[in-house]
Amino acid sequence: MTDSLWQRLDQAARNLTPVALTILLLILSLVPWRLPFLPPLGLSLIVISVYYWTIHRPSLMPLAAVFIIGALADLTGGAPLISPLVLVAVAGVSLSIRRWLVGASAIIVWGGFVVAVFDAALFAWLLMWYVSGTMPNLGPGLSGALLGAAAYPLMASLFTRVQRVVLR
Amino acid sequence: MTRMGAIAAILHPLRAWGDRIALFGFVLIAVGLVVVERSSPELTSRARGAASDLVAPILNLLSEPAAMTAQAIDSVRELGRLREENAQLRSEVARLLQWQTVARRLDAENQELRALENLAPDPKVKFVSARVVGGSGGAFVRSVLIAAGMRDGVRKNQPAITGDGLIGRVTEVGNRSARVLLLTDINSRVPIYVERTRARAVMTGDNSDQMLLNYLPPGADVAVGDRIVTSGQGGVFPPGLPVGVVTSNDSGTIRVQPFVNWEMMEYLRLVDYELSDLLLPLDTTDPRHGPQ
Repeated sequence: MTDSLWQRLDQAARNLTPVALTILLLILSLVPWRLPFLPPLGLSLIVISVYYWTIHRPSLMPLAAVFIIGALADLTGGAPLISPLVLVAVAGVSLSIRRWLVGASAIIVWGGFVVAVFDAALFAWLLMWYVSGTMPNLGPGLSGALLGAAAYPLMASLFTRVQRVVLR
Repeated sequence: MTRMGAIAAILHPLRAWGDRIALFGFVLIAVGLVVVERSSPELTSRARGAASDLVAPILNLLSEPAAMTAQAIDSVRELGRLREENAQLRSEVARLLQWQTVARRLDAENQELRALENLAPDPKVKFVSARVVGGSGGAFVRSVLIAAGMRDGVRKNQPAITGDGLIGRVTEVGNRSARVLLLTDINSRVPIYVERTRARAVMTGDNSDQMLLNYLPPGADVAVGDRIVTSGQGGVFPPGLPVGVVTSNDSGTIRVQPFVNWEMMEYLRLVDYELSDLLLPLDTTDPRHGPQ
C-alpha cells in the first residue's frame, strides 16, 4: 500500500517535470545576463518548451498550465497580460498539427517550431500594439524569435533526454 | 470486449470535443485579459507587484553569478583595447580639468549670488540605491526589476538615475521589489528640452535602443550631437537631468541615444525630490497667507 502510494507520488512528481522545466526557463529568461549582443529573449524559451511538450507529451502540458505560465511570465516580466493568449494559441496550433509531427524527422519538427516562434512574436507584437495604442518596434521580437529558432535543436535534445530519463 | 470498444468509440469523440471546448474557453479568457489590459491596466498592477515580490529573491540570487560572468567577459574584451583607452582617458582628464576650473568658479559665483538674492534653498533630495535583479520578460517591454520596494522608501513615479544620467521611472512597487520603466519603452513619455536651444519636446520610446523626439515646436533647431535634458514639466522628473544625445535627424524623425547603457547596469539610484511637500495647498490659518 505504502509502496504504491510512493510510486504514485513519484510518478506525479515525474509528470510535473515539463511544467516545472518551463517555469525554470521563465525564471532564466528574466535574469539580467548583461551579455553584449544578447537580444531580449522574450517568450522564445517558453515557446520552445510549450511546443515541444505539446507535441511529444500533450497530457503533461495541459492548457491550464500553459495559460498560467503565460500569466506568470507577464506578471513577473512587467508586461501587460498578453502572453496567456499567445501561448494558448501556440499550444492550440501545435495540438492541431501534432498528428503530422509525431514521428516526423527532427528537421520537420524544427521547421514547425520556426514557423510557430515567428508567428508567436508577430502575434505578441500585434497584441502589444493593440494594448498600448502605439506601434512598438518589431526588431527585438524578431531577434528573440531568431535566437529561439537557433536554440531549438539544443533544447529539444535536452528535453528528449529528460523524457527518457525522468518520464520513462 | 466489444462493449469496451463501443464505450471507447463513444468516449473518444467526446474527449476530443472536451479538449476543443477547453481550448475555446482558455482562448476566451485570454482575450478577455487582453481587453482588460487595454481598457483598465491599473487592475493588474497589484498582481504584478506581488508577482515581482515573489521572484525578486530568486532573481537576486541568480543575478550575482550572471553579473560575475558578464564582468569576466567584459574584462577580457577590455584588455584588448587598454592602450587605446588609456590615451583617450588622458585627453579626457585634461579636458575635464579645464571644466573643473570653470565649475569651481561658477559654483563660487553662484553661492555669492544666492546669498545676495536670499534665494530659497532647493528642495531636499533623498536617494534610494538598488540592485538590478531582473530584466523585462517580453520582447516588447523595456523595464528592469530592482531589489528595493515600499519598505525601502521606493514610491511610484520616482525617477531612476545612474552617474551617467536618467534611466526611467518607477511604475510598479511591491513590498521588497519594484519595476523601473526604461526610457526606451513604448509607454515612456518624458518632457525634455534641447540644451543648446532650449527647444522643448516630449521624448518617447519605441522599443528600439533609441528614443524619439515628438511635439517639437515648428522650426526648432536640433542638430546631431545636441544634448537632451529633462525639462521638469509635468512634475514627475526634476529639470536638468541628462538624458542623451541626438544621433540622427532624418526629415523630422529625431533619434536620441541614451547616456546610460542599461544592458550593463548593475545598480541604480531612485531620486526622492520630496516635491509632494511643495504641492501641498497653502495653510490659510497661517497669518502670512491668511486674508488681510
